[in-house]
Amino acid sequence: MTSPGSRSLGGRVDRWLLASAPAERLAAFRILVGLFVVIYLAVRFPVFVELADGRPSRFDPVGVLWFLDAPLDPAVIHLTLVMALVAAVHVLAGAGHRVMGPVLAGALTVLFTYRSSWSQLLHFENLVLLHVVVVAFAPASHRWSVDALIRRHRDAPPPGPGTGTRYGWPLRLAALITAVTYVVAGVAKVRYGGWGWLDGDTLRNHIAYTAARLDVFGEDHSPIAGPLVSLSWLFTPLAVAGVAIEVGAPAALLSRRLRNLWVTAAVGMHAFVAAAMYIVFPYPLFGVAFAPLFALEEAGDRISRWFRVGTRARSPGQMRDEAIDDVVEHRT
Amino acid sequence: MNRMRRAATAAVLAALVMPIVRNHDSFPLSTYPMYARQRDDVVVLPTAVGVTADGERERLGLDVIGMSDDPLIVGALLRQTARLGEGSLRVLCDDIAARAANRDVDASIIEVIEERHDVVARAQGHESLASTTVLTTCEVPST
Repeated sequence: MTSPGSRSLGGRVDRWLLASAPAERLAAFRILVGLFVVIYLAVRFPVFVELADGRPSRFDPVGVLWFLDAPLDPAVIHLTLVMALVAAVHVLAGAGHRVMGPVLAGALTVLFTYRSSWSQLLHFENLVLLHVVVVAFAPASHRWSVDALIRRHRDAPPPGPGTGTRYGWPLRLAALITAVTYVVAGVAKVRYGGWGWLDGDTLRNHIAYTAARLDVFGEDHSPIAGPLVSLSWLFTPLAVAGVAIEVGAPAALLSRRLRNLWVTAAVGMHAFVAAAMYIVFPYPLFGVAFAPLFALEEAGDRISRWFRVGTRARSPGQMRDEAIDDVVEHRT
Repeated sequence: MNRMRRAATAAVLAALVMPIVRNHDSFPLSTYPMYARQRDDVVVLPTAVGVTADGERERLGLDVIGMSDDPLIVGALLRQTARLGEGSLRVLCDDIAARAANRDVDASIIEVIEERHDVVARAQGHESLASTTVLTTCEVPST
């Protein structure tokens, strides 16, 4: 394996992957993911409850539930849903994270997989679940959490230095998952649609199709779908841009400028899909999918200062850690 | 510890890429085929409508047809039921009729149908319906 100090490509990848980060950055990611899951489960609660009423003839288990030969008992669905919601609140608050993180990951895996086990794979929940798994098994509650407050209240020593690879690596892994997910989606366009996908006709027809589908179900479609479909010249550049954004996702890992450019483009792409097709991918649309690419603690620090809790209640152990961090940072 | 992190990263990356290599979509590891397949401008759209006493066809809404707010799910329900045959279509039709009755929909009959549309023309507000195929019908129970 390449040594971290190596100047080769492998060495640079290694340094990037194993970069140090402050515990607050991982904590901020935990809070964002936890908040998203709590809101998502609360808003979609009736949808998940209704999963218990699905007809057995439509049940087609996928993923970790492949072995089931019949739908789960409704009580199991309801219990899993409640468990996921309770665990998500705990993860958001950073309370009992070592237990509640894995509980949330397990419950969401079952719940989301079950939702896709009715003859229609949904693709809204893949990335959020993968990020939840990363957060669940990472030391994400060492700061900005109930766990940290309890430790401080007991005057217990902090769990090691306040910065390190153990906080940085989960974020880099989550960022990689986001990037690779987009690359796979971009490759799928060419693989399943052929290079002809890039001429834009398929994209235009998809937009027209989603509008017509809503029509025949008696629902309103996007008011911009019609005018947009009339602009046939627009769809070649839109199709090329869409695939370029997806396949170009790894560029976001290379520099701050490229990251900002790519994230803006990706959020714009999802906003366009939401506006033109009424199909919302909330996790990337609200930016949570891209959160591991950013120094989140800076925003968190601003919020902390706003509430004036940033420096008031540090324990001696925490102040010692921060002093060590300062020295280490100064030397490196 | 770093060796474990490198190995875990490699394993996760391999798992993410595997669906494309195996050409197998699943959850949460996916090929993400949304909007990827070629789509013509003329397509068959399954749906269900209510027929009033005057013989007018009325759209029913996603919730009445498929108990969902997601057109993807309701569309899949209709397509899959049509594949299963007449018996399943009758059961679905009766379910829709019961929901229509509960929601006081102005309809005496439910038709599960397939409409063939030029979707680009339809999005532009032009006449788009090429044909309608009635798959099954059922009566709306009186409440």
